[in-house]
Amino acid sequence: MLQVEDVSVSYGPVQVLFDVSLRVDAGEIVALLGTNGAGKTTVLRAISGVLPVTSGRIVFEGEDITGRSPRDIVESGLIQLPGGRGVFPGMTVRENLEVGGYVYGRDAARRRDAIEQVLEEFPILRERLDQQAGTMSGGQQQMLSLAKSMVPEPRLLLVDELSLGLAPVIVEDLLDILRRYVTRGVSVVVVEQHVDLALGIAERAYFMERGQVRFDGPAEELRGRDDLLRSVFLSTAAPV
Amino acid sequence: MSVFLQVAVIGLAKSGIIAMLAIGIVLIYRTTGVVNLAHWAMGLLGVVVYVLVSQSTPLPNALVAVVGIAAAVGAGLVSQRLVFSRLRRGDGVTMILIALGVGAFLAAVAQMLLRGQRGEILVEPTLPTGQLVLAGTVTTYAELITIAVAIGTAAVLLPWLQRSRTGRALRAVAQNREAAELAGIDATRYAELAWMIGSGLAGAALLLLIPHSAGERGGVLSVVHLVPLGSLLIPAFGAALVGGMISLNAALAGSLIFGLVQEVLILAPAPIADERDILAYVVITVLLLLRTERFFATNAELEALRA
Amino acid sequence: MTADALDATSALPLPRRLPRARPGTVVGILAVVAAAVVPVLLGDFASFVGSRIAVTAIIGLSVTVVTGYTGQLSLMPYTFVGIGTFTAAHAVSSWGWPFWFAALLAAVATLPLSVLVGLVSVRLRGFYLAIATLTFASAVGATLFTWDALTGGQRGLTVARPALGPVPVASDRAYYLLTLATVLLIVWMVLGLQRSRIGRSMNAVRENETAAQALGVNVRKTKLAAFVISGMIAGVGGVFHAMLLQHVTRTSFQTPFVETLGVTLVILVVVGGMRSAWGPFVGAAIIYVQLEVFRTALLLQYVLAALSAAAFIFILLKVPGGLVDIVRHEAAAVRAAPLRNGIRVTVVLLVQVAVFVAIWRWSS
Repeated sequence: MLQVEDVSVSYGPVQVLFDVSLRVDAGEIVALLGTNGAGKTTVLRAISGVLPVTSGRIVFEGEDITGRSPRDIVESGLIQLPGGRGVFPGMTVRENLEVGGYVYGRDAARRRDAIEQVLEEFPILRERLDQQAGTMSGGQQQMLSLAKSMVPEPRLLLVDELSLGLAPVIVEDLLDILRRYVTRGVSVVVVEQHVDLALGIAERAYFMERGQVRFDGPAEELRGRDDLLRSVFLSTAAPV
Repeated sequence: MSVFLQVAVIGLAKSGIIAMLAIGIVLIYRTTGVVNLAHWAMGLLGVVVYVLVSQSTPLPNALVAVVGIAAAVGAGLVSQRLVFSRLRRGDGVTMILIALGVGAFLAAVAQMLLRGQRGEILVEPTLPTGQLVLAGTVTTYAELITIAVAIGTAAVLLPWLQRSRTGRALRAVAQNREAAELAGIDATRYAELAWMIGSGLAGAALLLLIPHSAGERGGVLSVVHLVPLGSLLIPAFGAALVGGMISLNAALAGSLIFGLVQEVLILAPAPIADERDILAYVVITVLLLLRTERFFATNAELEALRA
Repeated sequence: MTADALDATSALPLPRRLPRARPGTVVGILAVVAAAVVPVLLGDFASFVGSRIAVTAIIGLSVTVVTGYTGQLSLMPYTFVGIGTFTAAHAVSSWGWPFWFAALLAAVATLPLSVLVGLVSVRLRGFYLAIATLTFASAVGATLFTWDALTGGQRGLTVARPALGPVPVASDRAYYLLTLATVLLIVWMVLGLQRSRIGRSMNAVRENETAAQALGVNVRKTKLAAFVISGMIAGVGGVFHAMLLQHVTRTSFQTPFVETLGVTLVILVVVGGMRSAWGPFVGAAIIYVQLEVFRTALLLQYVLAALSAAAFIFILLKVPGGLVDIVRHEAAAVRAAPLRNGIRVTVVLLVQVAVFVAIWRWSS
């Protein structure tokens, strides 16, 4: 469904990605792991078209999308959930969802239907449609961010740090929603600091270090690779 | 009573002009993070084009004014494309210096276009001339039209920003650029749109100002009066600061303070009436020191503006 | 907190101290001698223009200290100049004070306002400060400068040029030499300031206020010092401004001129080089020489104004060090590869001179 072939990216004179390749098949969850600053988010941003690629090719559902505008990419059904707080804090929940459906253009009826369907999956948000997003809790904001990304009906969802700063209970709720979408045929790439969580839901995994892919294979196999994972634990472990 | 009304109408007209400038300043700042100290110069270019076209063609003045506004829109678009889009966000001092440079550049271009007309230039009236008596008060058409245009602009623009898809996208870019782009919004295009709207409003504001500076029949206008860096931009920024450069509604309220209230204070007892300008400067300083932005935006939004 | 740690925080685009090669010093001395001799030989008018450049450079140095070194944007330099101008005018003309005392008084007279702005700058950053200074400029113009006792009302004040002991400096040539000596003295002092402990604190505040604070820099004191020093330099500039023109009126220190002048000054300082004490001198020389050469061609002056604004924007985006940095860069390049770079630089310079002369011939 998605092939990333030998993609390199530079920020000005500094190269940050070196010939990164990865593949996502229809209906699977793939984890993209790595240390802080390994370039995981950069990979997602390059796929979404917000960052230009210096070399390599990105193919989505048989079509070369390298260098396409973010809008074209969103329209083709490839959506990224922004990292950190991905909501528009000064807008209401409803407005956030409407911006999520921006690509429907002037087709207001379709946007309304799409929002309606998303609200079926996120009943909590329906109760808060007129609340300002910035006044909600962190977990609710992340839920809104996820819901917003579902409005354009993605076939492939790139999730950047779903669990960041959230309580485990809330993360579990969000993962349930994510799994439900997967059973309906949506493919997912999760970028995570939280290794256990990612390997728990993913079938396959990639591991990145300093802008390069170091591991590519079944999630179970990566779990055994202490040599790679230790660096992540060292960089994220909370001091006890 | 009729004196009060008369002063109030003048003050409202002034408020209207300030409001149109302030809306543009806030819109550009929120969408692109640029504090546009060149705002007056965008409008100035519009006025100069108006002057030149109205001198050389027999077109009706209202139509020429539209051409002038279009020129201001173009000046804003070009400035954003060539200069401001290349700026790194967050480098505040460089950004302001560049805005000053763009202002100086456009002012020089305006003077170039007006060659041979040093000092004072002949300007056709932008608005219908004449006076009328309303409720025992003498007012001019120019004042009433200025008020009407300003109210009309606010009445159309604010709900449009609030409800339309384009308005929502503009706000989305302002609040979280990355998330907006990931939703398929072309942030570059919307930044340009904000510059175009803001600059167009500046052009309209300065064109509305002509009858008040040059007399209602048009007539001579000194070039110096077309450079309202201090005389108009300061109250416009003051009005914008009432809303912390964030809230358009509060900026509108602010423009009432720096237009209507300041004008009405003419009727106050001597020391206040004489020192109205000083009072305005004091108010602006206090607004600055209060850091009014805190009242209108969450920390997340303010970070987004500076990041 | 050590001075060295501070030094490391200021990331300048070029090494601060270039190798002190002999040729540089020789060229420097030659330049100063030429600057002193050429206008005097050319006559009164050239000397007057020279004085104007020198006076503008003094005033520009007040921007260098506060904006170039400390990163605080003040758009009210000419407000301080105005205070210096009128103070000195009174001291010399009304009270008969000797010149140097009048200059000292003018510098001191800026203190109340510079301390006030300095305190405000502690609380306001970036564009908030810029707008505050713009507001102050207008406020002072509407209060202090409308006070007839200070400014002499509509008619203004007449100021005689000074006598230094028995030596009168009334002629344009003598006055030029005096202003040149003064600007060199202030350049030397500002260079010293940059190398001093407080100068390094200023650079740290410019680069990153929060980090500077963490390193132990007293941000409040540093900003206050920057505004006080800057105000005093501008005040002294005002003294020389008054005596250059010999007649001063309040108009040029009131809205909208005070803001326009302030913006022009900032442009000239940035084009010259905002972070070098020589920058204002270079910027002022370029702008005023061009203005005088093309004085009769009005249109061309606007073209030049547009070009210098464009150069200003380009420099801010691409070469933050301004012309001083470009010259240093090229000088270093020529030293490294005399033949190749020497020819290139010579050709570029010749082309520039040719274009300049061509425009001049065409315009006159």
